[in-house]
Amino acid sequence: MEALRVDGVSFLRSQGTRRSPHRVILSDISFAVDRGERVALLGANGTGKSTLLRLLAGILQPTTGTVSRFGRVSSMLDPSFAMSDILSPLENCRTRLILEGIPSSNIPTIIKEIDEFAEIGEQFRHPMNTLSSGMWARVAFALMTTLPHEILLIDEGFGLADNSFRAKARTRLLQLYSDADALVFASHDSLLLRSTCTRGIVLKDHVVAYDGTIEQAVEFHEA
Amino acid sequence: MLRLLKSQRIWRHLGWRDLRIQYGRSRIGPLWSISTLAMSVVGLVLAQGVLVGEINFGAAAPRLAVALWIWFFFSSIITESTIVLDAERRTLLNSVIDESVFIAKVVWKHLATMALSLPVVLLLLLTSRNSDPWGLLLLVPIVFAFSVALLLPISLLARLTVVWPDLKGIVPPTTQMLFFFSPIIWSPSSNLPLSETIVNLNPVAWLILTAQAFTSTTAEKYSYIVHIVAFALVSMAAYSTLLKWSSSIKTRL
Repeated sequence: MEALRVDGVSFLRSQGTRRSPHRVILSDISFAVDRGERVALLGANGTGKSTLLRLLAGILQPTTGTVSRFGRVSSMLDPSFAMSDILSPLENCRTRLILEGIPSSNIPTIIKEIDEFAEIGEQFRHPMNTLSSGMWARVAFALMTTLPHEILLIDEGFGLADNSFRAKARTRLLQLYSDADALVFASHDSLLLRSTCTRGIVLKDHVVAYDGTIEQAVEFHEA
Repeated sequence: MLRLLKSQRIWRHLGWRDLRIQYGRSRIGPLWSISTLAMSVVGLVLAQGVLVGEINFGAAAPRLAVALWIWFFFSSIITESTIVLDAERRTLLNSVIDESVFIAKVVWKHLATMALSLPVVLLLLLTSRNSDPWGLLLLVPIVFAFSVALLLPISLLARLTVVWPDLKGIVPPTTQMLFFFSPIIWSPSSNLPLSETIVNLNPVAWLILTAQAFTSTTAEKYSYIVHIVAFALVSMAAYSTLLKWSSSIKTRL
């Protein structure tokens, strides 16, 4: 059973100059992700991995082709977007949950969970600019991993903050990967991808250059 | 438009959040907007008094307060529209919500700021015998219609600024120029050349004159309501068409 289907998707970014009004980011991409699959997206910088994730999430619309989603898609692309350092983690989490479309009645419970997981104590109610970078990372991680996920899209791994938090975060991540109905993970960390994913898609020159097992995809990418 | 109504929870929250960020570090917080209006009224009354040779605070202040109250609302919305999509770039590129939410947020936020300045206007209206403070209540639906009418120009400006970033530098001074073409420091009855034509072509002037008429016991009411309602209806239809047919600005960000 499919979780995601990409049919002949191309994406052109508008540049607004007369000489080259558009830049090709992706060209004629097609693949499907089944439920239970863990797919790695590989490719050099600028090959369109993040754009493809945004198309899969429905954040961007393809110039041509279609993206079909069969389940609730959650994306973890930028851990700290829409967060202001003048506001507290509590207020920032509320904003992110509202942006995610979480019903108001569920927000206090989710925020309590985030507060407990991040373990930053009273700082959860103080402005973000009074937090250390490790605390920032804890809040962002707790926020992103507390939300319910069916089809999970991740761009690069997480900066897993300090050592004391790392083991706990790793356990939660592994749980998250295994709980998700489908996972698409873009990263340059081939070790992490090998341990997490079963299939690899390599993007090169705006097209899918390789689609196969994770071992062969990593070999193809690194060749 | 239905899409905007459905997303009202998001833009209302983002508007309040912006105000919290804006005034988060300030001790007097939103009182800044009140003091700005109060100081501008006092300053302009004094300037007019120096020019005319006579200061009549009771007569001039309520008219100026109403005009400036609307002007600050309009000019701050227009100015913010040139930066809003750039400022929200990360949110736009990381969530499924579209730019119309941020346009609505700008209007909502400045409506809230306008409401915060209401005590100053009310206070100044109460200082004059010829004023009708209750007229402010009747003004609420008119300001709302005008805000809806602004959605189209704000959206166009915001999108155009992404394509031509130079607009960020051009729009604010142009808006300030419009100050002098709006009946704030002059009135259409002062027989200035072209004043009637200027007023007829300037939607901000419609709202200012309507607001002044509603809050005065002497002026004729309802003069520009039809203009404002027509502006709102045409703008709403055009904005709905824009939302339906235009491609997302996200491909440009």
